[in-house]
Amino acid sequence: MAKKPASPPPEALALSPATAWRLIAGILVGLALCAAALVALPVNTYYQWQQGDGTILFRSRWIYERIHFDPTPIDVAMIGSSRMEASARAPELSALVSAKLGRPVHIVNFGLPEEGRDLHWTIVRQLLNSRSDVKLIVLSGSPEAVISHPGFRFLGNDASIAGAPVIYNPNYVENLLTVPYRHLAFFLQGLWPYAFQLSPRFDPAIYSARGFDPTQSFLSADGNLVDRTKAMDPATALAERAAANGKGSPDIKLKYLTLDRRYAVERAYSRRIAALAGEKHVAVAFLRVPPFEADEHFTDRSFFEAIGPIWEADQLGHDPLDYSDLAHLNRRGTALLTPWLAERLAEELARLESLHVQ
Amino acid sequence: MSFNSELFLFGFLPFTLAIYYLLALTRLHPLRLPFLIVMTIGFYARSSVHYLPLLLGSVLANYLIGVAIARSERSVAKWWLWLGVIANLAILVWYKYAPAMSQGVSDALGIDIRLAQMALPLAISFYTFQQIGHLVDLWRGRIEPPKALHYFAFILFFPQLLSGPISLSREMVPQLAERPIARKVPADLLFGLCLFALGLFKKTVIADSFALWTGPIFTAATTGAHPTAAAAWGAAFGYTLQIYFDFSGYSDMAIGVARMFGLLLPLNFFSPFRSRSVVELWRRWHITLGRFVQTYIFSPLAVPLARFAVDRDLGEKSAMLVATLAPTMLSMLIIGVWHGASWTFLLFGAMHGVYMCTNEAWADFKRKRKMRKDADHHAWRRLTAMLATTLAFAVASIPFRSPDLPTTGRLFAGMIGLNGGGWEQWPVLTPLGAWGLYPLLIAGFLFVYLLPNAQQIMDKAVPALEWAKWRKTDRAPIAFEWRPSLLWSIAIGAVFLIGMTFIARGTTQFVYFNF
Repeated sequence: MAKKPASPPPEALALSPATAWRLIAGILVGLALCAAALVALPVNTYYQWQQGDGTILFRSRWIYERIHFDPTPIDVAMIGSSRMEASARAPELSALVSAKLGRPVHIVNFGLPEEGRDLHWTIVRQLLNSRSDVKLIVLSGSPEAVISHPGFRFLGNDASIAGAPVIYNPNYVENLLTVPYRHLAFFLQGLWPYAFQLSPRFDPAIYSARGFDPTQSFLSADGNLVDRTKAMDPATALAERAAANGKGSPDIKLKYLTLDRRYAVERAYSRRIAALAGEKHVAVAFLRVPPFEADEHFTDRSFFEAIGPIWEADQLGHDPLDYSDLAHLNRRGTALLTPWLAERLAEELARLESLHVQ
Repeated sequence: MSFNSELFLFGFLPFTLAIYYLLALTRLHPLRLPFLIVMTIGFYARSSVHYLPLLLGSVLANYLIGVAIARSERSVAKWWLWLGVIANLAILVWYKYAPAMSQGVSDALGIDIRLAQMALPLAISFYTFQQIGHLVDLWRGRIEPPKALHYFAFILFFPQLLSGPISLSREMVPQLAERPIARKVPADLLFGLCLFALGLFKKTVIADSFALWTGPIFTAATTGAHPTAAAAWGAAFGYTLQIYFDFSGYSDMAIGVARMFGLLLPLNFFSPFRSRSVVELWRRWHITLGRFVQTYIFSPLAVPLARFAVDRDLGEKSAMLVATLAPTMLSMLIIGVWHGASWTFLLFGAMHGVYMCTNEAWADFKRKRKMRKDADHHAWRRLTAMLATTLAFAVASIPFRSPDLPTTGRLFAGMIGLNGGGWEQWPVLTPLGAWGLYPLLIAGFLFVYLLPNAQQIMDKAVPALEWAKWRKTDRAPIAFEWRPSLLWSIAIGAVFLIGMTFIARGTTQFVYFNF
């Protein structure tokens, strides 16, 4: 043993265990009080939906403005990940479906990059609680995801975040911790909105600039060109996929969970979407646009079929000329998809109309 | 796994504490240290599983060499010591410096003997130094060889494993060997929690705020931009405060976590920017690295060199040069390259070496001229000395943060006005733009100069080893201390919550995890 043992702290304040536990409890009280105080700070939802500016979610502001500030009707909202964003040619779909039904039909593309049904729920909630003209929501359908959308913690409302499923939701704590932070951040930003490059009022010029069709090439917020005209090189892309598949190991614990726990985020928010849509008499459908040469399937197809029809564009997925990368259609691919999708949309809207008439 | 991660805060730490005390306070207490070792292995593997065998092999090998040193005749023990030191350094050099050195040799000789770039094994610089210190102390007879379990628990004590403090076995082994006392546990948890909360706040709220500005400026300079004077100085002072609060926050958190387990770590950081000289700054910044260099590098160099100067009857100036300035410069160069195999770290070390030598020479000059010491106590002299010390550090922070010398050159050029003036063309994406940085700098420096540090606030808890030596040092102009009151608990709770919730903003890795 050491010659000169390190001395214990002789001068440390002697606290009885009861006092120390009381003070620790005081820390927890302070923590809770501070959290409550922060959460009580008001949130301006318009600023909240501008948080995507400068990121890949920069279209979130346009989505909010389309819902709240643009009186043009919304009959069909296509909501989903970047696969939906790259696939739904909203202006052409609107024209084709209008022609088929003999009346104007307005379709919007509310796709945003990244997976996560909780963000789709957030958009649906904004949409259906604000507008009564929506008849159909088309959600992106892809194999069930485990994760929460990275934008949900900033765009979701407090109750949705706190009330998210905990098991199995790897992002629950991170999302919950964001709630007091964002209240503070939004509050401070609200004091000096221009300094934070926020618009306190709706600006038609900004709205118009962001209202482009994302199935066409565009410059992303980071200045990179999202090129929808290029066709991928299949060899390189497949090699990248093989490399990506080789990384990491499958999450073994998922195997032992029930489907409701394994895909907790996906299922909980799909159910919430279905419930709200049902309450507002809005139909829900799923659109699956396959990635290039991927063996993709739902683990439990019946779960989604219970909510609405699943449209699978399996005629695509085999020609690399239709894809700009492994997951996203290019202009050639969407040109093939659009008439087929317009057919499905027109049929569904006609069916809904007939139900309404009956 | 990092202290500022949700997994650590809400999973690893509470679980490890609960089981540790469940074992320590019951008949299962012999399992408490093995449990701690297992948890540390998991803690390390979470970030760097590939280098886990290296870590465990290194600990085992050093333990065995330590036993051999203790059991051998002195003449043989010396060889064991050399073997241990050389083997430790060889591994460190291999992983940390060999790729860069092979690149340099290849470029110089025109032959391709480059080694592939390897990921640096996490914490290697810290556990290597700790183990060298242990071997040297054994050889010097300052300690007895500890039990294997205690030695493993000492090196593999997760609060200090990744970035220090570089503690000594004589400080930690006796504490680890001692079984916790039940009635002290709540107080240790309380004190540890307070220190941890203060450290987390410094890291996620303050250090990460500066990173929002400094990151884009350094990135732009790296990609060829020429920052203006305002941007370059902003980057220098901004990064100075970023690393200050980052390392200070980390050290508070490490000390706090260790305290939750009832252990005291050595102090690692003590308001260094309130120092009045660079020599003093290095006694307060990364204190345990400075102590290691002083004990195991500077002194072994300086003592024989001083003897050499006396034996050769060198003149005053030559003796000063040989016995003080040369080992000082060498020590600072070693501290510089300890951070990594890069010319920028060498430049950082060289700049601090020059600062230190100038400082030593000036002190010597004053001593000889019998200049009045009380003059140093005038407030304005203290203030100018403090500001000059901070300025010197800020200038040297440019190579420290730059990835290469051309980036350093572009920023230095900006600082001396060669890149022009102007504010708005800064490459900053941060809200408030460039205008946000300077008010933040003012607030940051006021915090540094005026407020007490976390240890001073937690004075009543005796927050670190050898606290008696530090507790009266340099009281802050605005002094306050934690008291065992509900009000203080609520305040700490609020600080803790804000520190935690700022993780959501997107927190950066601790700077010292890279070393």
